[in-house]
Amino acid sequence: MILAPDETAKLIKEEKRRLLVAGSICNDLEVGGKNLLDYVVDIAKLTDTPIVATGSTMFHLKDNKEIKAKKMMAADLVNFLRVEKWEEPITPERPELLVFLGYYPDIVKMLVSTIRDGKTMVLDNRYMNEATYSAPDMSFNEWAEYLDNVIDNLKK
Amino acid sequence: MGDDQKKVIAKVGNTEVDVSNAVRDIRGIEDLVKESVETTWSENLVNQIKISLTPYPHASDIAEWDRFLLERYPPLYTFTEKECRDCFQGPCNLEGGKGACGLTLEIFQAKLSLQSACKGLAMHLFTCRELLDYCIREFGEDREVKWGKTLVYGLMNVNILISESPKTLREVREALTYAEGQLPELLTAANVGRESSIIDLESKAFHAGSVLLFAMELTEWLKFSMFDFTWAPDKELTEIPAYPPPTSEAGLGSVDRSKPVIVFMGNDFLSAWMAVKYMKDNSLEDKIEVAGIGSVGHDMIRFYDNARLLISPTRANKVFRLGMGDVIVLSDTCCKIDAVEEALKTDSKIITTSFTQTYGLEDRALDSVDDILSDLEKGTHVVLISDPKKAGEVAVKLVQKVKDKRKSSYLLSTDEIKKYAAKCTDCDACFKACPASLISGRILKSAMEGDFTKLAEIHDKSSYCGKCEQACPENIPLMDIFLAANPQAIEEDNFKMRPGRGAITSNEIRDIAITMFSMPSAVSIIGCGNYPGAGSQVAEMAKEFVECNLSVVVSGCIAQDVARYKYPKTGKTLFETYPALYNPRCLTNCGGCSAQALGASAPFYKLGYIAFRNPYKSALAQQADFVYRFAAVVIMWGPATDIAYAVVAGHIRAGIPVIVGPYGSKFKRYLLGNKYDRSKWWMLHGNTGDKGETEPTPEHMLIPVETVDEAIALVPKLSFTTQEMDVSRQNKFDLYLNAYKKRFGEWPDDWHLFVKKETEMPMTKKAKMLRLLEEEQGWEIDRKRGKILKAKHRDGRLLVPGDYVYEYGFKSGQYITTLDRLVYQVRKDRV
Ligand code: SF4
Ligand code: SF4
Repeated sequence: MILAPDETAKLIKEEKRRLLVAGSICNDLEVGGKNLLDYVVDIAKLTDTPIVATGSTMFHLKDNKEIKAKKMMAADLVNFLRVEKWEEPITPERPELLVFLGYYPDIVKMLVSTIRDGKTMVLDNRYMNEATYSAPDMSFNEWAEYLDNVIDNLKK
Repeated sequence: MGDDQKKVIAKVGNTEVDVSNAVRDIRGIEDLVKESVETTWSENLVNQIKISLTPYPHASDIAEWDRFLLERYPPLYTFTEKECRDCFQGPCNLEGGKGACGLTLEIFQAKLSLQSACKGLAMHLFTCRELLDYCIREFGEDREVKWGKTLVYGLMNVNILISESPKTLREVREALTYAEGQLPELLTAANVGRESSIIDLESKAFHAGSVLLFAMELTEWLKFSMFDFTWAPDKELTEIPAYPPPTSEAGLGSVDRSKPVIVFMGNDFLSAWMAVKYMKDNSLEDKIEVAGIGSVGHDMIRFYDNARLLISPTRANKVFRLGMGDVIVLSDTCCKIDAVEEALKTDSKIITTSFTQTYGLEDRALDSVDDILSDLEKGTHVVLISDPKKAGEVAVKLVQKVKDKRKSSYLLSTDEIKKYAAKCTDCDACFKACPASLISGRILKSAMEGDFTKLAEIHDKSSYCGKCEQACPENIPLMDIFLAANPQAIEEDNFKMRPGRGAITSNEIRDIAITMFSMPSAVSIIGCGNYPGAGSQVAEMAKEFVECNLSVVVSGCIAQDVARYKYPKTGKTLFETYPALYNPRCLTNCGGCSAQALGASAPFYKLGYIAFRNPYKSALAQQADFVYRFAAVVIMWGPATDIAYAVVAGHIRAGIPVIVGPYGSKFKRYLLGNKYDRSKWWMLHGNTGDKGETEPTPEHMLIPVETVDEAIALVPKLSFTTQEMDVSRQNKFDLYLNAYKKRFGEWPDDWHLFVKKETEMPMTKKAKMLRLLEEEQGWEIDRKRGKILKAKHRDGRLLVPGDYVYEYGFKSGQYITTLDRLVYQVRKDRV
């Protein structure tokens, strides 16, 4: 389902058991003059959501004391989700909503497709049909605007 | 078999044993089974475990091992396809429920997995069959095939399935007939069959992988035996570190374009071999450049010193757009469907040679060389010539005639780049289409203003897949722009390559049997070439491993990407810097596509026999059970082709964990273990059969990663083995913890699962490890003396170190296994 920024913010706020998942291109992409990872951190801080940092993203989060983040392999995360007993310490309970940002399309497509039990949201700028919720296809400028809008709505 | 089966007595030492029940059906292969037992089983072993051989196996013959793997590492499917169209009752959308035949979405995923493995197998069986038929026509079926002076045990991927390596071309044909015979059975199950068990479908996918490695090894062997390819087993051990010399010219800048250039592409080297032979016979070697894209290029540098290895096929568009080949010769498998269309854009003449890629053309194999040449000169651009000898001769003669009729450069000018960039509307359709997120409208905007910096960076990172170009609504020729924005990068793409050397020798295995106890891991990097956006990452990975004292073997087109790194101080490549041995701190290249079968499973099977007398003839499950307990990892980096899928399946079945790079995200399934589930991590005591809990290792058998950093960090982790010497574990801890700290800024949170005693801790990390065990894991530690007083078992008990090593893992030296039938027992059924 394609979501507008306000709907995205509303859903993130509503789902208490949520997890942010930050992929490897968070480090590489600048969107609207801001590093993509900064958006992840903003969302995490505004909503007090832990971050699973995949790829090499953790390196840039390790010194940030305002957020809870942990390095994981993305495959490990989706693997743990398929067993009944949730034991991964990043969150005390099994997350119900996983919010992905900073992935090559093929990788995030694979990740969300493996998740059969739980909701997924992709906030990259390519529409992801396989996710429960997705941002639409956007140019860089539109993407920056979209993410800024999400942040503004989270602040409300 | 009935109870009236005649006894078949094998004599091992002083023990006589009836082997009639050692195989599913011994009829017709009595001598083979008897010989296999007599030559590779020790008397001790014969008396302690039930003999079981699986000669010429079907998938189900090896299912005991497959089941173990699939139980511990249950398939994780990607569910990207949900509609089945495999039979007349379809299409059935399985998302909402079962298909008309009862198929569920999950079983469908397993079928897709098997289909992928079957396609990979079929492709290579075709290559092997073409080559073998040619050899038999040319040399006769009685022609002996040589193994090489030091390949004592023959071909291990072959022996493991059919006991013996062939000695004549006729025997090669018999062996290949077995492999070909497996395909219809697997394909039937994959497509129209009614197999309803995921485990059995995946077991068949593994089998396709084992059979593929078998066929690839046969292919490699024919190349050496019949066409004198470089082959390390034909050399003395003292020669091998420098063999073959790293002197082959490679890269786009290695070609002298003032001369006529023939470019070969595909998986079949025969027309290239014939062209070179014709050139040599007519003293044309100095007058013509021959170069290869991908697999054929890797083959060419193994038989012709002047050959140039250009690039992996994933980036072939670069060669086409640059107009490098005055004549382009295409063969099977690795050619792009639009190769002809691309080549014609720069007026190249094309000869296609494979029955699988005929482009709607009539075969000119029966026409005279002069007639074909005359047509090509008059204006025909593409011909099909299935006779490799004729194709080679036509290519050599044609290239001398067409060279002067082509432009000297096909690069866009700076003004043309700007003109095209001005058409850009900043819609970012290119960005959305690019799998590596490389190009966007804003980069073209800068180019329009004369700043080519960002465009120039894309030159190195792009795979030249062309998706951006296809997506661009303004029809901007983006790939041409990337090339023209950085012309010096093409000239600078010039490096020295060590050609493939074929198989790992028995002598090297004897050597490594001694060092392996301290070596952190043996890594085999395979695959079809770089991932878009990766630049020199594969080389960085190989560099990191070899510098950390791992044994590194590369094969497949990826080997060329490894050669692209040069040490800044010495200007030397990795191949020029490290010896080409199968040993720690060495880097060796086995060869092109089919050589992917040579670098991991084959040497480990051999190691199992040489170091531990573990029988290898028709004993895949037994050997895999052994290999699984040793530190080897395969990294598959590059496109997720069906061949890659099957090659990976073959390695997993051999007991070797596999990491796939970002392109592997298109694989249909992964095999991931769960370290938190203690019930999954056990081994059987080899003497008593008692199950004992172990460390969760190797944690995964097939895992995708996003970055090189992740692959580097995973290798030491997957290399922990439940029994190893202290020094080996120290090395692995060092690598694992360093990799995490350096690349992700923190230690991993699971290292403590691999600690058994303080002597396994690296000196530089011991104090911190002991402190963290005490503070975070509740162990009792004597920090002053640096000793573990009580270790905390995962079940919560505090145990003194002596008990802990018995209750968590096994002592090194103790024989352990995963298969019930391999537990020692006193046999009462001996003759
Ligand atoms: S050609 Fe290069 S830039 Fe274009 S889509 Fe492919 S990888 Fe991306
Ligand atoms: S797709 Fe074409 S027009 Fe659109 S931004 Fe890319 S280059 Fe420009």
